[in-house]
Amino acid sequence: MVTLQRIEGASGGGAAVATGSFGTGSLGRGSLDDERRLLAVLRRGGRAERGAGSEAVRAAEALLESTYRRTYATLLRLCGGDADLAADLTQETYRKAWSALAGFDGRARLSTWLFRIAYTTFLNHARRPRLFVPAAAGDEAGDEPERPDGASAFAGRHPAPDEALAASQDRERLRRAVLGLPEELRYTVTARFWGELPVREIARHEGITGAAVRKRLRKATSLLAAQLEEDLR
Amino acid sequence: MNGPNRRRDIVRRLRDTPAGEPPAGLLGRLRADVPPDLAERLGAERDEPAPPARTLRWMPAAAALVMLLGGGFLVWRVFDGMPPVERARDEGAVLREIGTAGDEGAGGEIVPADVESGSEAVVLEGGAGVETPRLEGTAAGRPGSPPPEPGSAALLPLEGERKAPARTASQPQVDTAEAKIRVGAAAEAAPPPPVVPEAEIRAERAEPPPTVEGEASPRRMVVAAQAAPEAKRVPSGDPTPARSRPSAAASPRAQDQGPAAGRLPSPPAAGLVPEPVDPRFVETASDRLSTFGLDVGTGSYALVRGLLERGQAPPPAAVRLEEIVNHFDPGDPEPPPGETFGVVADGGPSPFHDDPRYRLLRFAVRARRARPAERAVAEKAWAQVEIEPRAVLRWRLLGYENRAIADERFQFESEGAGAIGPGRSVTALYEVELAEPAPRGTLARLELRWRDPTTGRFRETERRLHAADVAPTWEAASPAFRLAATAAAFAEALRGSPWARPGLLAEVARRVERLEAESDGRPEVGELARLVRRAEEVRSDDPP
Repeated sequence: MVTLQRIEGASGGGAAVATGSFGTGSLGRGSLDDERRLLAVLRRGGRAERGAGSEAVRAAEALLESTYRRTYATLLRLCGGDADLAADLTQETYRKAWSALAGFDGRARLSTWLFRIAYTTFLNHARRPRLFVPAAAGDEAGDEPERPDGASAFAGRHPAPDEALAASQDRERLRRAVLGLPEELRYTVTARFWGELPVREIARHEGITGAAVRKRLRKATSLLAAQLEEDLR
Repeated sequence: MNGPNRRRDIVRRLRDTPAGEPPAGLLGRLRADVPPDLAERLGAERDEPAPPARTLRWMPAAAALVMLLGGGFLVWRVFDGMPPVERARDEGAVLREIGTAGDEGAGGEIVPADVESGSEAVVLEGGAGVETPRLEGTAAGRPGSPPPEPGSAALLPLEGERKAPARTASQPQVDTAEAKIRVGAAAEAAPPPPVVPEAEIRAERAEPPPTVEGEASPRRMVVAAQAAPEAKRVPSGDPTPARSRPSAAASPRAQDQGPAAGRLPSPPAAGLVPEPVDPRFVETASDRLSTFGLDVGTGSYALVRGLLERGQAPPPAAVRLEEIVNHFDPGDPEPPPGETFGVVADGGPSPFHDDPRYRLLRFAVRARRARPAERAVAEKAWAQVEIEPRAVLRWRLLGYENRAIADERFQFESEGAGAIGPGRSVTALYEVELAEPAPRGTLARLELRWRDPTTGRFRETERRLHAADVAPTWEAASPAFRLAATAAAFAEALRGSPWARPGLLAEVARRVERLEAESDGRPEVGELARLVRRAEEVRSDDPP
């Protein structure tokens, strides 16, 4: 069970990250080894036993703990700050992940693979009607991290209401522009900036070189800049 | 701004897109989703994850092998004259997606997507109700119903199904989309075909001439509603997997389609009567989550009352169980001070099965009565019930056919949330088949999430329903439970549910009289008693 403790340690790192910038924690360090070990446990474990207490389930829960914050953060950005939707899509993502785990080929990291599932889950949702209804004013509250010390911690630093509104409109425009990119570029931009995946990981998963990923990013950002200028005109 | 600067600005803004901390309780939800048999699913051959390089090296060989086998299989299929598997699967997926299931009896035909005219046909047929058994088994996609057989048909309710969750709580009927949904409900309510005695089918077919079909005749509906219990003579508690349900159903329009329709439903051949399986029972092992909307109206109750008072039997499709149950204030205590919601959970014997393994569980969510200062108690609230697989073999949510958000399609749509009025209660009933020996611990738990309107933050509460909360006998059950269970049984009887066993309405009448006597003259209980009596009269007016 040493493996699991190590993973849980990693998840502790994730928790520390949670209130600040997302995801830089769990991917950087030797989490690849942890992922491999976890997978090994998942695949080996629990053939004789099953149920909530089985080793495989414990390993899966540890995996959850070390990855769910990042997955949620990615989806929250994709959803434009709709916290409920992001939570529900996170749930959907992991459901898919459990059923697809057998097909995980180890070519990319598990976090990259999870990102891909989350991204697809979001797109599937987006293809349903009603997605691009602008987030209701009340939903803006979801943008803000919920903190145990309460919202008052931010009270003095809130921007003026019209400023905040303008910022959120800007964000929404950018989000729509990203979602309107051609798939290849959309995936790359989303993976890099909202999934916080390293260029190398994206390259490995896509089967292209790092240079090609950077080229895509340049192209995408140019398109986005042009699109946003067009919007403002 | 020049090019690189503009790009840098975009990159900065992309990076600055805010992310927040997951809501409290998310991890719990995710944990609950980890399949207990995960290791088994992964399979023995996957023991050692191969390092990436090796995977790549073997890839061409593996791909060649797969192609060889796949090609061989394809050739075999083609020469064997079988329909392509893929197509069937795709259709299955589409039907699952739109939540519409049919059966093989429909021969895989797909009703043309002439939605407008189609919808009218359906409405009419729905109105005419169960007068011919063609609606049977249409199992129009309700969350929780099993995936359709490959090649199944009945695309018709698509429009209505899609609109279903968006609709507001309570308008009783009329618009076409909605009417279609109701047809779906009616179809579900109809008994599985093969167990209806042959003679009855003939009688039903012969009696009303086909030209009358368009007219909604309440009388015929009652006949149908009474025919339903007949089906229940075959033991219903059988936990046969829902997937194996009989294949003999049709698109609601099948009847318009000549000879194909004539096959439906095929009269049961001697000795080949399939087990009747209600698709609405869900195996807990395959699905333990259930979500229902909290924005329940009570329009159906008013409609049913109006019709019964005029001596007409309500069309089964107009009977919405959850609206009838929620018409009655359960009288549960107010939430404790400072709490926005109170959740009550209890249970008792199921009125639908005379078998101690079957229990009815009740969850009632009550919103605090708002003081004038705080108008909306909650903007949105979500309720999710998780059934404990170790304790419950199968379950079904009573009613909420159109508002059950969860499951395949609406699991994660925030539109699924419902507003619950201040001071109001929303009740959901689950019929469960308990595992044996009788479980002792938690049977189910309800998780309620809502957004606090003053702080805009999410809050959660959880209520577990223990085996000890479930009364062993009817008399020992709480008055609120008995009222809800009685109203639910009344609704099931009215809509001719396959679970409305013979004599259920009479039993409801007896129970409601006792409730009336105990209720200290609560007018709505008295009214329910009156309506049950009316329903019995309307039914007995009907020709046998």
